Amino acid sequence: MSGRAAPARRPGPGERDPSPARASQTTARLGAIAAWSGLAFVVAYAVLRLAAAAFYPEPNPAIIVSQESVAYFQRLAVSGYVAGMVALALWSVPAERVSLDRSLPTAVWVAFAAIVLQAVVVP
Amino acid sequence: MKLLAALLVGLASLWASPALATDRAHAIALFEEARAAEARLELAEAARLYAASGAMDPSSPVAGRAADRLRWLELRSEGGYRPLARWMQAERDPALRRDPTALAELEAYAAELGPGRVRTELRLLCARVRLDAMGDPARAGALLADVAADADADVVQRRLALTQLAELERDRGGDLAWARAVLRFGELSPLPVRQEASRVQRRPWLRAVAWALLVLQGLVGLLAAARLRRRGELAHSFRPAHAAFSAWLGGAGALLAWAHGAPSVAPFVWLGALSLSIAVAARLWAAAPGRLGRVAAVRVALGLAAVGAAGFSALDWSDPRYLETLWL
Repeated sequence: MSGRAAPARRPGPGERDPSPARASQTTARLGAIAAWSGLAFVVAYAVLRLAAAAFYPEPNPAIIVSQESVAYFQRLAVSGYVAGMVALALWSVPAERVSLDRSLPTAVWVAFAAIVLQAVVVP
Repeated sequence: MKLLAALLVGLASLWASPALATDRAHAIALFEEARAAEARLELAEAARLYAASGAMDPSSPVAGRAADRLRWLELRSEGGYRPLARWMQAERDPALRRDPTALAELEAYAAELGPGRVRTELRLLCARVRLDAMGDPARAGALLADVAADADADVVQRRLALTQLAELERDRGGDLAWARAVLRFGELSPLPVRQEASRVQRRPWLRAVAWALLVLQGLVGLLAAARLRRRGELAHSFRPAHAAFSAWLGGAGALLAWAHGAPSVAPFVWLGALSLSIAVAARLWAAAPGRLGRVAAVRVALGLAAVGAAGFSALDWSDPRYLETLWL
């Protein structure tokens, strides 16, 4: 009698692991995915706004009678599209590669710098 | 005071008008004589009369036209106007359109001429007749190429010849033949036309490379699938996330494009389908047993290249004009 508990059986391929540790990992993974996609949304918006101002200047609103779409909402939609891509791409990679503690702080600063730059250059 | 000035001007014009009217009438008569001489193909005489008409009364209503005709004739005065007379005669001769022998003689005559505008005009005429009346685009193309390549010819005529040659080649061999013709005499075309021709010429190569990358990725995926199937692990190699990503890429992208009023959502549909096949192939490759699954760097490199190929193909299959916005 060694007194040791038998090691938990690792789930086989395709099997779900119902343990609390697994649930915690899933929550952390979803959090990381949400954080990354949120940052991607912010960066995408800043990049779109800056690129549009640099290459596709908007006409003077005073001379426009009507327009089919509002650029602001278009940018929000495209940023959401990019953020969705990032989220689903991260969901498809192994869980251990998606974490909050490695490069996410740097990414937060990058996103912050991008949106501040955009706000200063093209308010 | 104003009344006095008007009276003086009126008196002066009354005194001067008989002499002016005589000169003007004479200038107009000379102009008409010059036109008649030109019609008779007596071109040296026509040039002399045009010059005399302009000199007689530079302010006559025909002075401008006389100067234009004189300049036109002088620019084509090589060979004492004989080549020009031959060209003008050929232009008027309807029999030339039906007589291959006469046309061949005219081409030989043009080939013997020295540099000058008339040689170019003759070649352009022969090319036009070859194409429109004789149905001989090959010979017409050769004549137009002669003009485009003639460094002594006027640059406007060379550009005209190149434009006609390029369109002729497009009719005969499609866009690629058009691009080849444009780039053959690249210096004659404006930069945007040259860039467009370069893109058209590059596109078949890009298309072939894209196809090769997609097929290679697919074959490796099939090979990996076969190995995984032998080990009974094939079913566990798929991830729903791949399908979700591709559905988002294609579906949400198409929805955005539609909402923004894009003319077609086909590029996003193609992109979604291709990205799914690439992701599945890459996943199978990564999960494959043996050496195949261990060459991660090659797998990543080929996967990224295949994604680029998918983007290119999605645009190309939908409408190649989309590629122009990306300089492809």
